[in-house]
Amino acid sequence: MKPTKKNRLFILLLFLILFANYSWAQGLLDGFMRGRGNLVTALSYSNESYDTYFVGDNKTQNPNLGTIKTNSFGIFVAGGVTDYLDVIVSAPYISARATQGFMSDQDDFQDISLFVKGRFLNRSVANNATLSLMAVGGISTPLSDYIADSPVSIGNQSTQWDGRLIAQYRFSQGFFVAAQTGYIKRGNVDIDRGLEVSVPDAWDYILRTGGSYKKWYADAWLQHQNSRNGTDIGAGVPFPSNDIDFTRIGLTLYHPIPKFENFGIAVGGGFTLSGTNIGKSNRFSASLVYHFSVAAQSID
Amino acid sequence: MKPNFKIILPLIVLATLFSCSEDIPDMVELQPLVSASQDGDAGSWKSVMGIDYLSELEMPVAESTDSEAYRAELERLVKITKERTSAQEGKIKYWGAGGVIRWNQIMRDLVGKYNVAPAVGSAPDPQRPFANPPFAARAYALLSVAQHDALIAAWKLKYEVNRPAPSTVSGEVNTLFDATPLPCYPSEQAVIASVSSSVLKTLFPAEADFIDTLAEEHKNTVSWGGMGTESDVMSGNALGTFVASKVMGYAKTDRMSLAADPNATYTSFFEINANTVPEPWICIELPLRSPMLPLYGRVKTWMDSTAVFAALPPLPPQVGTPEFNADIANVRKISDKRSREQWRISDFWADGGGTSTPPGHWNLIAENLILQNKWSEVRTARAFSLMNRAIMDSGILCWYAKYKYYFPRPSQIDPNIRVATGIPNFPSYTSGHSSFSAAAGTVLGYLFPSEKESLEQQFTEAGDSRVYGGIHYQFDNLEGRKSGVAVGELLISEGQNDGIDN
Repeated sequence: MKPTKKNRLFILLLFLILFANYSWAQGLLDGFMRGRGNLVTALSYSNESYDTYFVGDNKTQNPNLGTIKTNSFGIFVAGGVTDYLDVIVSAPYISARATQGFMSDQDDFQDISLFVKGRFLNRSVANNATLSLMAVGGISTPLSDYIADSPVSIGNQSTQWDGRLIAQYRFSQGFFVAAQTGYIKRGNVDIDRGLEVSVPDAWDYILRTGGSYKKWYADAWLQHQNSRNGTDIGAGVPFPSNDIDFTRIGLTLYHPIPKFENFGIAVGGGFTLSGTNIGKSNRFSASLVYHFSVAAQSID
Repeated sequence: MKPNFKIILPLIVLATLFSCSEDIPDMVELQPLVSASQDGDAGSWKSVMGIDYLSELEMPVAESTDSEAYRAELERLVKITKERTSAQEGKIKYWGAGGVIRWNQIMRDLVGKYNVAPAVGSAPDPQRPFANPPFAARAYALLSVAQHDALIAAWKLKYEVNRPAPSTVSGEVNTLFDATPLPCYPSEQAVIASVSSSVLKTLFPAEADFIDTLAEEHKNTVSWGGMGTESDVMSGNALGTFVASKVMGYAKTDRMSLAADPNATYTSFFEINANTVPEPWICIELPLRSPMLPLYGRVKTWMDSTAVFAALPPLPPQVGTPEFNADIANVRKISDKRSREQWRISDFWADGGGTSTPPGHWNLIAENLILQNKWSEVRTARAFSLMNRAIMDSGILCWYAKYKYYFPRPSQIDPNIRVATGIPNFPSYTSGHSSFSAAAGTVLGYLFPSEKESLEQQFTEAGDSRVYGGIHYQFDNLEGRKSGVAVGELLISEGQNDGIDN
């Protein structure tokens, strides 16, 4: 193993921050490539909570649930198969609880995600800036038989297919802007009450801007996700069928750990600004990152 | 090699993006009913209300098929059937699956729609009732009894008048389904449409327009399909409306109007005090809410009330006694280590807010058995009537026990007991699910002997589900089940003597 090129190391991280819950999984995907033979692994912890949620568009609170708190532990691996192709895998363990009332806690492995990202254009443009275009295909599927149809749950049990396009413009100074749009196709789920429920597909949009420098990486992002159809939260309405929309903003920071070669720390925050049929949640994450390279030299 | 990915990946992405049609699970389409037997003797079956409807109601004399009046009706019918649209054919097929089944489904949908607890402090709206499980049990029973009595009277008249199907009188009638040997005056579909819609409109007044539209459509399918003439439909309509008025007249006097008990007179009625109930139930949800229908236990039972109340459960083990401690320890153990299968069972039978309630769940179970056996409309109505009266009477008994003993939920005593389903806002002992389900399953086990074992398993599981959910003690479950079975057996003894071969 040997360290990967320094200027790349710091720009690999934003995807670490926001991947532990199904509605956050798209945070995995950035506009950078790992490079052939380079691997990034991370262990992450994140904490999410909300005491206010949207029923349809209306904000509400439930004194019999109080605050819904979610803790996630995730493992994450991203690797460059070639300079044009990355493979990304993540799997979180999630626990969720309500601070009021008597509803049981939920905890289990949630969904494993596998993404394949290919860069099909990487062109130098004016002033040494670089324009990259990438396409991503992914699948995520439940790792356990967790309960999907409950006000306190860790996911919706749907197997999801994700297709998206990413465009990134990076200035020579390290500053970048990236935009992506994706379509998430969600499979039906069988819920405990004996029904097969359609889970709405969704469009997803992310804008991201930041800088990657010798040691630091930082970005800010805006995400909007919009289900194509679905139901409003209501008595007797299966939760997985809900029409979930949201707009979120967030920040990501990365810094290597001094004296520990190849290790770094990433921290991030995400904030739900508005939504339908979703908690108005805040999320904070921290990740321990380890990156290394395998056999990169021998193939050159 | 490497350029390949540049082409392949975008193609995969694009293929995914454009394959984005949603696949919504379809409802299972029901086949048109071709009943195994016409049940030609049903006119002699016993009615529930004990009323001789046909002697009380003045029906117009049925014209003979040779009469000019009938010929004119037939001519108009031929024209209607020849001009039939495909939309009308769709409706004929929909209602052709069985009118009793369809109106039962409509009732279940309405119960689901109205099974939403009103905001705390809001005044009850008689136009928009809260269709909670006890309300629903009574609603299903009233609908089924009205259908049962109306169809017995209809069958009696059918075989008295003995008017054949229009298509056997005139070959020009363009039927969609083959005519049955069942005499068609009065039209049983018109009877079902009018009796059912009248009951439903009384229970859900705000839905009157919706219900009228459905009833009109149901009645129209009789002529669109060439199954009956105007007088067949009109006489059916008159009979159905009349029977419904009798049944809903009874419903006005069954004391349901007192059940909500806004002034909480139940505490004095049941003499709830520190001596009789040392550890009383309290509301453990926020905001605080009055318990559900405290005087439902005083609603009139369908069966002899002495016989029903002979099955009143005994005093439960008092809080703090060893027997109680052992039982609550069991609930706590489940709460601490609930298995996925216990979760599933709890969810499967929860039938909580927004659903057709546990009584509705049992109506669905009955529907499936009835459809498999291709029962006639009148036999179907009788099955629902026996089952739904058992459900309601067992519910009355259960509600009486709930307020008489006023027993706390497990989480009230041990707040560390975490639940898999909502904690109902009323006392624990006995379990409503166990009572309703055991009563329903016992009756269905009599009606469908080959399914008896499976039904017992189902009603046992339905009751167990509440213990798995963490909201009931096992003694709530077992005593509820026992009294449910006892009430079910009362209905079985009626079923053994109502003139019908099983």
